[in-house]
Amino acid sequence: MKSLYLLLKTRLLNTYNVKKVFSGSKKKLIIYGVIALYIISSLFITSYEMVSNLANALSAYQLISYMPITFFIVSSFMTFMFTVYNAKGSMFNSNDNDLLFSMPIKPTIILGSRLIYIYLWNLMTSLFLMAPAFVVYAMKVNVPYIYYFLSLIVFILLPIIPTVLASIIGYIIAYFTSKKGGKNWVELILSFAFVGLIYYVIGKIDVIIDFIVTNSSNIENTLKWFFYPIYLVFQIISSYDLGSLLIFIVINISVFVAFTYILSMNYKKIIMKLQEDKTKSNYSMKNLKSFSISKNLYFKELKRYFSSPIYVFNTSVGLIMILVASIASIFYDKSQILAVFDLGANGEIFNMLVVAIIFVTFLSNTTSSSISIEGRNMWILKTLPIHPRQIFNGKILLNLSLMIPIIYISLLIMYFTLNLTLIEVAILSLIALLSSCASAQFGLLTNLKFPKMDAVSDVVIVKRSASAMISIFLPMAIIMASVGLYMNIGDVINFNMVVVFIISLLLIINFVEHYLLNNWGIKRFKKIS
Amino acid sequence: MLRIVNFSKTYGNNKKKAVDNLNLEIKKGEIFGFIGHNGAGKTTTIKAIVGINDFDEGDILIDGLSIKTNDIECKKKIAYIPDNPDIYSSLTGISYLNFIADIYEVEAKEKEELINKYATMFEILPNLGDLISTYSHGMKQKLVIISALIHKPQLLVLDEPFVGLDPKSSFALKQVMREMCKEGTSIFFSSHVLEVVEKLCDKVGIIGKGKLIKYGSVKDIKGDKDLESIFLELDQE
Repeated sequence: MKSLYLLLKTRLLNTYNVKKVFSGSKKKLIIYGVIALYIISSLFITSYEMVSNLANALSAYQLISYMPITFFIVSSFMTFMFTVYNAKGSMFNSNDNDLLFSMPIKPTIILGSRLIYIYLWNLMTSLFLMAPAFVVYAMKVNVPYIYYFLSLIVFILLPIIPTVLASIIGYIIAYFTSKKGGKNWVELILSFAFVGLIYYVIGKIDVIIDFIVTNSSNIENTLKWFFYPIYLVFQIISSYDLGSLLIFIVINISVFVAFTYILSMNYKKIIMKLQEDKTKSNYSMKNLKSFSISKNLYFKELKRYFSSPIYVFNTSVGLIMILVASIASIFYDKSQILAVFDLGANGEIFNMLVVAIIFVTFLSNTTSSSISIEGRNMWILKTLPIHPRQIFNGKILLNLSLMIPIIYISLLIMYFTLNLTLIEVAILSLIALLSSCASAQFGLLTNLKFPKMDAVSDVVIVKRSASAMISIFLPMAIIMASVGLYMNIGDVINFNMVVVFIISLLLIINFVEHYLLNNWGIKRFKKIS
Repeated sequence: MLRIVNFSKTYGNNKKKAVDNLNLEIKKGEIFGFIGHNGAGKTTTIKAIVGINDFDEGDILIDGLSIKTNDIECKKKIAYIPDNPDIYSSLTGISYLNFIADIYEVEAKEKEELINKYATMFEILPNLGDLISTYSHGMKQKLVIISALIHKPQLLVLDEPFVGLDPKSSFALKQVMREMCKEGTSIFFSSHVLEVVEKLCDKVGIIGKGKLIKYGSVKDIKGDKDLESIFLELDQE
């Protein structure tokens, strides 16, 4: 148990640089604190708004008692989805594998520490949804004190099963990837296939629920036979049933322990297999092509990007979503799409696309990890006779070359399928370009400010580093706040004016970011080692 | 070729200097050995020479140009071999060498000739088509050495270059270092292998706790003793 504690502590301290943050100057600590507070409070406020709306709707239909269970289900599902994206990387791809396996530590402990680390992360993220849900429910319903105690225990245990389920998928991906000698493309295809399958199931959820409901006598029976842990949660929260609580605790702990034990039997073998690469060792000197410095730097970025499935996966989901949506628009007519997004018959697809494109460009940011991903190779860039600006350009170009073609192809498809006008397509293309540039530069500036050069795996850089989180959540918080503001004052403002404002704002942001990169960014780059 | 003037380096908020007021000079064609125990300030100095670390006090001049103000021009003249050969594992060996050669704008024909020459010398040519992720520590070290040699630097800076090399490659590297010096390249290298320093170098600098304790020709410093005895004596003091 001591080694489990030490491994977990070391990983947490290393990931979040806790000691470094608190050893800095007071001024810096205050600035970071204010930024963190802004992002966290924005997320809580947004979540609170959503939860309140749902609680009001449920109250109107006298269904408020189902609110806690609804949020426990939603939170479990979100935990599962977030973990599917990075379970394989978190469990198998770590720089410290060789070191840990050479120590007198059982594979069960190493795996256990990594699973607990994923679980703790999931617990922290589910807090953003569950804390407002608790508060809103307590405001709406007069609950006894035992409710808070039981909910807290359920909240603590709830991420375990989704974490284990997602980790099983991660394990399957790792197993098949290891069979192919650790090929990245196998991992990428399997990852996308699993996520595609999950989205397909979500798309068919109404059919599945219909089937379940018609084949069971009531909701309780449905839960009991198809989602037993959720049934237990229902019993705990609605009837304050301590027996169900006990069974729930036993099930969760047993599932976790059993999974850790079974997986640990093959754990070391899979990790070793994943590290194997096939070699030919038959190279003979050939004519070598020469490229310019810019091309060389761009190709280097491209190869590094595609060598990391978690990096590709994490930054391409938004782009794939917009591409899939555009292809789907071939098969559905405009009114059906408006109905899906609850926009009403006269809803404006164009308005929605403006927000969607900005959202996707910030969600698909590659540059927020591109400095950290250099890691121990940073010395190469720093000793080459090239200007830091050329290095930045290579990283920005990678981001743009991934985003722009996919967004433009999607827009071209939607031009035909959604009857967009040429002017609308031109405006959307301009917004896509400006927003992509703004996102790429913002990501780079953030990563220069918060580099993570000593990460044990790409997952830590891409998913959990301060830079990656700020680059996604800060713009998201601003976008969501802006959409919320527009929804409140939209009646008195013409959307064309909003578009002009957005384009002007993006232009200004781009210029400011460009200036910052050329000045502060270069100085900062020279200090990173 | 290399002149270090009043160079000092302090890390973070810590007021203690990692290197304190260092002064030394290496002329064209000289081999300089930089020795000192772990944490003495060797790597800090080397990282400042090659432009990895910024510094506030003093200056470092490469062929008369300051690394502070003319870093790109200085870097064109330098090649650096770090103590740990961490290189892009997603590239093949040949792609890495081609990348480095292109950045230093080495002519296509010369690039092929030099890669062929050094890859054969260090017995790594058949492996150049494989991904660097498949390489052993020693193979990566050889690749870094080749990448440093193919652009014909005027100043070669090496940090513990013999670590991880097999005896044959170690011998080959020493040969190359001697040949390069004959052609006018200056070499600055740190090592804990004092016998190699003694045999290979014209000048030696001994650094302790960030300060240069001894500096001069190998002959003057060691006198009748060997370098190891001198180093241990100084360490005792």
